[in-house]
Amino acid sequence: MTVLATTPFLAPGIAWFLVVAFSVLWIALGVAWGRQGRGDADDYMLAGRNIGLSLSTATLMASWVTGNTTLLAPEFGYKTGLWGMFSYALAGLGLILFAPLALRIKQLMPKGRTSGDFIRLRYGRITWVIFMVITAIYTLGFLMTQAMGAGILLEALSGFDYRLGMVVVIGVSTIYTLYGGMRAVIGTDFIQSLLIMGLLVLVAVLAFRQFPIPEVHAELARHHTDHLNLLLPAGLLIAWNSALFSMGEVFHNNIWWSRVFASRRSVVMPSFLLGGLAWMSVPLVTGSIGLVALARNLELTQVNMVFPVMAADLLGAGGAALVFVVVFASLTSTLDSLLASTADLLAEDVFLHLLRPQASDAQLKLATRWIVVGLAVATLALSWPRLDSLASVLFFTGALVASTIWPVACGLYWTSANRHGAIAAMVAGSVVGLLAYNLIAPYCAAVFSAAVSAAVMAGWSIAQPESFQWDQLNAGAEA
Amino acid sequence: MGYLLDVVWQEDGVNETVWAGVIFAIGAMVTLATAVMILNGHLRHRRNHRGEVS
Repeated sequence: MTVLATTPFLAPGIAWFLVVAFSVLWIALGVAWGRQGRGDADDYMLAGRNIGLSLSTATLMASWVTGNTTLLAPEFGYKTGLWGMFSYALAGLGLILFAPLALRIKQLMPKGRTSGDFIRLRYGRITWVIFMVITAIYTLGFLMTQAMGAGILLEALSGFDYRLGMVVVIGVSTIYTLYGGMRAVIGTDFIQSLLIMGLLVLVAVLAFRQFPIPEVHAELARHHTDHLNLLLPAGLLIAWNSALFSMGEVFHNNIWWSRVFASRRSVVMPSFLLGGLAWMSVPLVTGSIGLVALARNLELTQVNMVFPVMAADLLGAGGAALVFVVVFASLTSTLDSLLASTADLLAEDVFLHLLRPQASDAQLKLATRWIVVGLAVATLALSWPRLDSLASVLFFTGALVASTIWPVACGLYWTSANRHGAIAAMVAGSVVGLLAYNLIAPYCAAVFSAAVSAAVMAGWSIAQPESFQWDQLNAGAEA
Repeated sequence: MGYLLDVVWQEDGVNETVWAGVIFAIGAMVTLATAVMILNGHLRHRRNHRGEVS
């Protein structure tokens, strides 16, 4: 058994150089891109609503690749084998199945700004309140897990203090989002997605050149047959939970709705399809690296460090530096999207529609910027005490977001979708999902939540159909 | 594994893989139903918007 030391991978001097270099690059690009465009609130929030296919696909893919995707997927492959990596990859279904919905949103609400706009106009104020509570809990959980992930990962990779790593990643993301808005987020996401994909391909090609697939398979079949077993109970439990959790995340969250409104109508559907497919390749590639590590009989002191260990083993100190760059890019590309789109949602739905309906365009833009700063400060404060169980925080939110899948999708396609049915579906789905989380397993929460929500939404709408007029959505969004 | 699964396994002696398979089947059904609903809605509304210029 080969035992590899895992901490730290990278000398602090090199790590600091990379952090400073990429921080300066992101901030400089963000500030420069922020100076383009009309300069009004709509342009700041949605980058001129004219994003093309390549930028749109890249920003979707980069935002969906989190620090977890690069480090947790190899851990799944290493610990649970084929089903682990396939299950993780099923999370790409969220983006793929949202593609038709994205086109429908663009048709119904060409002037819309947020997912909250749609829920309020389609189902009314009470449903909007429940939806905002769900999205607030999810977004806060997502921000916290990314912030804590940043601290933990940079500490493990380079010996950075947990809080220092967290402050650096949140600080850099906040500064360029603050100056450049969505234009900066999308532009930096494009470069970050190229970095992530390029470096992953490099590590995978080197790994499989050194350890060809037939050798890896033979070794696994000899010593780890359970890792090739497609009926592994843990894998079966996780499988559809990943898919339904991701659908809940994508269908309801303003990260993805803001990309729809920011993109040209002709590219929204292909960009979500391509972004989802490109994203699926990441956990499959990194998960297979976990299998290579297992076949090589590497014993790891920290199992979530499979990918960095393999990269360092294949490429030496350069490999550790590359992994550091991938993780840094993954974290900043997710955090910037979360900060920008959540600030848009709160500014549009709460500040403009609830608190200050008479606010000027300049006041709306200023409020959006203040909310970006407020969210960053709140995230830092909540993530300051270190929690070790990040996965349980995320799976908890799965019970809530999966309950929004059917209310959102039915609301876009069915004139009969009933507003009381939407409320009941979100409440019943969330309650049953949380019960499943506690009584069965965290991995089942999204499955049970989505199942109950779907039954309630469909049943209620068939029993008491509404007759919604689609033009109310566009008229309301323009108002 | 949660409390409920522990009880089911103890009292009924249900195989772990069978129980996981049941949850897998529920998840597959919900995912399939969601995909069918979305594709059905997409195709129906695409026919209605065929004359529009994007």
